[in-house]
Amino acid sequence: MMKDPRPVSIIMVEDDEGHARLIEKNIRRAGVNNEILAFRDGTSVLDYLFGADKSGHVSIGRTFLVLLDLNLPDMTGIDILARIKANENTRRTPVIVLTTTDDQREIQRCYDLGANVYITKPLNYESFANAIRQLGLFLAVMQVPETD
Amino acid sequence: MFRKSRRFVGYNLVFLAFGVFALLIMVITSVLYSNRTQTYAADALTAARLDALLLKYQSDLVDAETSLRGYQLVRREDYLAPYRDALAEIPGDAKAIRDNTAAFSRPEIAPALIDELFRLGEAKLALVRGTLETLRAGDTDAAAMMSASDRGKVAMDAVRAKVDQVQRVAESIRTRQADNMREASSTLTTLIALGVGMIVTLAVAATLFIVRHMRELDQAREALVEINTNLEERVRSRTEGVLRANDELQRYAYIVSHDLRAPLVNIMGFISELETSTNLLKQFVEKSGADRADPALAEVFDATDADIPEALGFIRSSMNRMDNLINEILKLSRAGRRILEPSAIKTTDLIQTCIDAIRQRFDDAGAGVTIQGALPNVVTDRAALEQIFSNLLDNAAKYLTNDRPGRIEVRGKTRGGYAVFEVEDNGRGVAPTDHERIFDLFRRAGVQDRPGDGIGLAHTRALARRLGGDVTVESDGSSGTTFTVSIARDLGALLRSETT
Repeated sequence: MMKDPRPVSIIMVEDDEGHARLIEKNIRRAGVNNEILAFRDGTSVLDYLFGADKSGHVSIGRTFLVLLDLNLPDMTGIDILARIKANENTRRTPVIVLTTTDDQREIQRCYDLGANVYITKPLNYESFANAIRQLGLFLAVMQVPETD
Repeated sequence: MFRKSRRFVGYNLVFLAFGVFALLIMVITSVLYSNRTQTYAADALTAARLDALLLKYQSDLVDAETSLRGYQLVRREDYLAPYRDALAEIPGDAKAIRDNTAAFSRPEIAPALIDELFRLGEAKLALVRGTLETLRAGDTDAAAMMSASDRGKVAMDAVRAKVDQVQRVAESIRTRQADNMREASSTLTTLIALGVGMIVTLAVAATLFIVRHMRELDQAREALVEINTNLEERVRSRTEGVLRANDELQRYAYIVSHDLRAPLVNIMGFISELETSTNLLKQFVEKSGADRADPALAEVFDATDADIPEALGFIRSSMNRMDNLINEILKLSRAGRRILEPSAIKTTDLIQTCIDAIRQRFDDAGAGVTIQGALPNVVTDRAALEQIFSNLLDNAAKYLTNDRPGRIEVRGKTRGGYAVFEVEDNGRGVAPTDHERIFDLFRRAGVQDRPGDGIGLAHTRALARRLGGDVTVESDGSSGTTFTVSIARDLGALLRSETT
């Protein structure tokens, strides 16, 4: 990511502002300085990713990865995941599911739909902070394809 | 339904009584009439016999006279043979006539009439005998005189007249009794016809009743089948409702506990951030070289040294406690969602394992644990059953009293489709007012001097209920506690019956 000529944006979909802030803080602590775009609901992130015409053309040329929470007020993260993986322009975009659910069926469904990583948010804060920092370290070495 | 069946029995009894009564009447009348007919027949026969005997008697007398006449003419002894025969016959005939006269069912012919007849007969015979004796004495003329006189004819006519009279009486008896017989037999025929008619009527009526009753029974059975089907459907829908409600409750508990944790993570997270920041602030304040003695700055030092860390400490410990409770709810709801896996379990071994796992606690408390007798084996979920006994044994060890050496006993037996286990201790007991409360989540009873969250028994009860039974407690509140756990003996069968 750091070596990538184009700056990679991190699209964070998280309805809980506190969580969003804590995630951001801990990613930063891992030394990741990329732009983080926070979205609090599904509709706004879909608008950003696919544009007003829902085609996804707006994403051409962008380089980003998605941090996705599954429990959103207006839709489930699984819908968003499915839409991202079904769209011609965004299907190669890495999606990291970061959620509280550790239900095996949910996990399987997410991987079936093409999720790249599934992380269960630890409910204990120390573990949570630790997990996010490690995710940050992981993001720092990860290659992200350009959307075409 | 029941009343109808009783009515049916009542009707049938009435029919039966009618039938029996009709038959009885028929039999009695038949016997009566056949007896009477027999009498009539006997009387008619007697009359006929009497008629014949009278004729014979008369002809005997005639024979005697004729024989005498012959002898009178030819004087040959052998011509007297009919006379002698007649004389020999007459007493027997007379006796037979008297007997037959007396044989009638009621006195029809006065004995005087017969006596009169025999007197006339004897008179006639006396004449004949007199003539014969005169002849034998050689007085032929006198004999001829005697024969020529009309005395013999008169006597004979008298006899004939008398015989005729008696014969007429006998004839009238015979006719009358024959008529009676005809009448009786026609009455009998009528009676039998009536009886047969009655029985046929009764049989038809009874058959109709039975048919109707059977139809009613059929209808009732169909109604019952329908009710049964409805009931099954209702039970099924209720069961579905209960299962759905239970499911919803589980989901609810899961979602609530889960969603409660999200803000908790924030609180804990920002407390950490605050602590970090406070430490930075504290270092800065200390490095600033400010004077602690300055009253204006003393409060700042207090805040960074004591007040803020104390406040954060309380928040953190409260949050930890809340986190703990939510964790327990989550665990409970997970236990509720866990799929049960019934397997054959040797209960004694399982409980022994549970005891061994917390052996140290019993040893520390100086308590003895015994399994009394053989425990019934069950087919159930091993993990759930282990959890139940671990919780109960743990409680028993936890709430022993210092007043007496601890003694814990485990017993078991089967009752119907259930295996019933008892865990009894001689610890401090549970006050009767708390018997239900101790099974509530986060509720505890008695002196709060032992660690615990009020989860164990709620969990135990939830598990026992999932295993098809329940947990109840008995205690007087001072001398000990007995927990009774009942579970289905065959959980597999129970689960199968629930899903079908």
